[in-house]
Amino acid sequence: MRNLLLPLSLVLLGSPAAVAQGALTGDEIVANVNAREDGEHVTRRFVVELTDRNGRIRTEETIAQRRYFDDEKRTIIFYTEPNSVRGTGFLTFDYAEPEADDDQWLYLPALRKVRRISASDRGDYFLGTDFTYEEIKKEQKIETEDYVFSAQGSETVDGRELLIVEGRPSSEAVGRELGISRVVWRIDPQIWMSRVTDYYDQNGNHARTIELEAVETIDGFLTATQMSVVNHKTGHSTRISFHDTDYKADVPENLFTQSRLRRGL
Amino acid sequence: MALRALIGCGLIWLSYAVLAQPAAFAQVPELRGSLTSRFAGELNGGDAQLAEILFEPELSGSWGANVSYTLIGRARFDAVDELEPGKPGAQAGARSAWNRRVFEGDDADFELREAYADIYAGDWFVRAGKQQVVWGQADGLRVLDQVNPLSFREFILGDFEDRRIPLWMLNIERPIGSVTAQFLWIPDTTYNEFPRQGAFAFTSTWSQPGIPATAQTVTLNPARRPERMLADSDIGLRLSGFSGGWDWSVNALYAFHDTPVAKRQTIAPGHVGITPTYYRSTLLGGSASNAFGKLTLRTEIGYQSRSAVLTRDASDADGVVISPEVSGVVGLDYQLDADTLLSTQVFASHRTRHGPKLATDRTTSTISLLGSREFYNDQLKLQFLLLQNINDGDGLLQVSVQRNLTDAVTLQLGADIFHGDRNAFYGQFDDRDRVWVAFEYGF
Repeated sequence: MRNLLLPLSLVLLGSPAAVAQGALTGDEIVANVNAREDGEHVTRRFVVELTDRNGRIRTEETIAQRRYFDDEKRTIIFYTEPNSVRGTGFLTFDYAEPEADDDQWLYLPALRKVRRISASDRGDYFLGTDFTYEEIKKEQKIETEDYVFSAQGSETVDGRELLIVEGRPSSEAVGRELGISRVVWRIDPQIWMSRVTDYYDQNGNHARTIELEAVETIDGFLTATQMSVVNHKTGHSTRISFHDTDYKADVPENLFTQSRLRRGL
Repeated sequence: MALRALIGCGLIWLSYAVLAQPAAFAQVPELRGSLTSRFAGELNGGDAQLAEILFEPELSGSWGANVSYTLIGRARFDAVDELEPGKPGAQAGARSAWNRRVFEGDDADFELREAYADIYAGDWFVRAGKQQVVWGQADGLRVLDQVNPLSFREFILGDFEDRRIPLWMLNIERPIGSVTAQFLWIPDTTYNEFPRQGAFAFTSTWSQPGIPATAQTVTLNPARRPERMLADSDIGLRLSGFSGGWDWSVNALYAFHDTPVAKRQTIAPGHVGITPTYYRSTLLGGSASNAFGKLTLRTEIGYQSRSAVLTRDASDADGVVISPEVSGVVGLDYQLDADTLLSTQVFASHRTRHGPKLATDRTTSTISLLGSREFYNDQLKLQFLLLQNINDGDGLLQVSVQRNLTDAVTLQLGADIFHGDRNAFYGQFDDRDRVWVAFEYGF
């Protein structure tokens, strides 16, 4: 059902005429963002570059695979570099129901053991990066139930006409969980991804900016291949670049198991 | 001596390089590893306890899509030589002939830590070779984690990964519906390794056999280690799955206890012989864990059909009482935020049969409390761990700081503080409190 509805929504909501006329509401723009196809499964390698406020850079590399099981999304990530974290594995079952907590497991080579871990607050930072668990999980999509959206017109950035959408938390609880008071997306209607996203913390301070730095069409799917985030509070920043993205290679269902996590890379 | 150790390290490297020559169908092998320098000084007197250089190369690769291999070696040079003074000996009491370290002088030893092949064949997965297998959900307190024996060279300090003694075994896994079945066959008759002398040689009375007052001569015999490859091998079976949000496992292990018990026999009037003896037992148990918001519950229970304990009852025929034993752990982890974890565990064991003057209480319990927090995007980590024995009031406090200096270099500082009765498990090392520093370079 998910796949059948997506092209239809793109046609209805994202037609060039509607975009040009500025006729789309915030909800409609976000619906187009969420309607973007991202494949039933994907294999990719990503490189994480972490830069602290003093300019000191460290680099981590991972191999990640993701597969949909109906509406449930399962992801397995293994660290390959540096040596100190090599073999660390992370398995997530992300359920379609927003109220259902994810199930997550962590494999630590030093313990040789798979540990069940609690689903972190979605606004917590993902494994030392400046991206949150929510952002890693959503892959440039937006959880509609978390926000009240409003279209704020458009803006030209680097020659591109971008649609501005503001989102405010749908409840105080969501605001607390995500650690935000407001988010501003600048969405490129050519690709239905946010080129620049600004996050404001619960005190209204400008907290982080995410920039989409590179997009490619791979195996027919629009794919973000590089993005960065700056944490304005700490001065720390993270850049993630994706490599060897492959939507065609087989990603077997039995890959997403604790046994596989335990066996390592 | 240092030169010889370095030559040894080089030989390990070279041997791996030779072994790694790829066949026509193999992928290029990958050589990784770590070089660690550790120093520990005792708080009581300031003596050096450890000045160690540890080189651990790891070679891995694959032949085709379904077969891969891993080789891990260890070369260790300890200039202080306080943990296993001199040459520890032939290790015949603890290790099988094919699982022994090679000693070079008093200061250096070499070991093939792990050597296994992974084979995927349809739904079957086989890991064959020298390896570690970890069961259970508990941290540090062992109920189901009984597959591999441990080295007590540094008592219980250090990572379990380094303390576990890998065993030669066949490890077969296969999914059956939503359940994963694991079968282990372990012909490697290697058991816990205790230093006979040195900083962490056991001295508490619970580990010493009772000697009748009438004994004029005591003969300490070598350990009677089961060593028949087939008849004395261990067998394990585990079923595990994930249902209704719960991770669960059911475990069975038919194995010899890894710690021998000093069996007493009268050789002649006034002449007593003591023989460390291993007892076979069946372990049946299971584990379950689930996450509830920020809380993670971990549980583990095990039943040992035969657990042997020393008795000081001079009238006892052999000085050993055997009883079934039930033990379990309940653990709660509380994730305050992505960087802060608090974890506590309660461990308890109960022997269904008891007797007078046993070396341990009928029911024993230990609690653990762990706290850790990461700073600066996981580049700095503070941690403390408290292990407290409820019965004897002794325990161990470990605190540590870890700082990633670069992608490849990690600095750690820490302290291990024992407290309690000198005749208790942790308290026996009350005068071995230490501070330590470690640099690790990974490549």
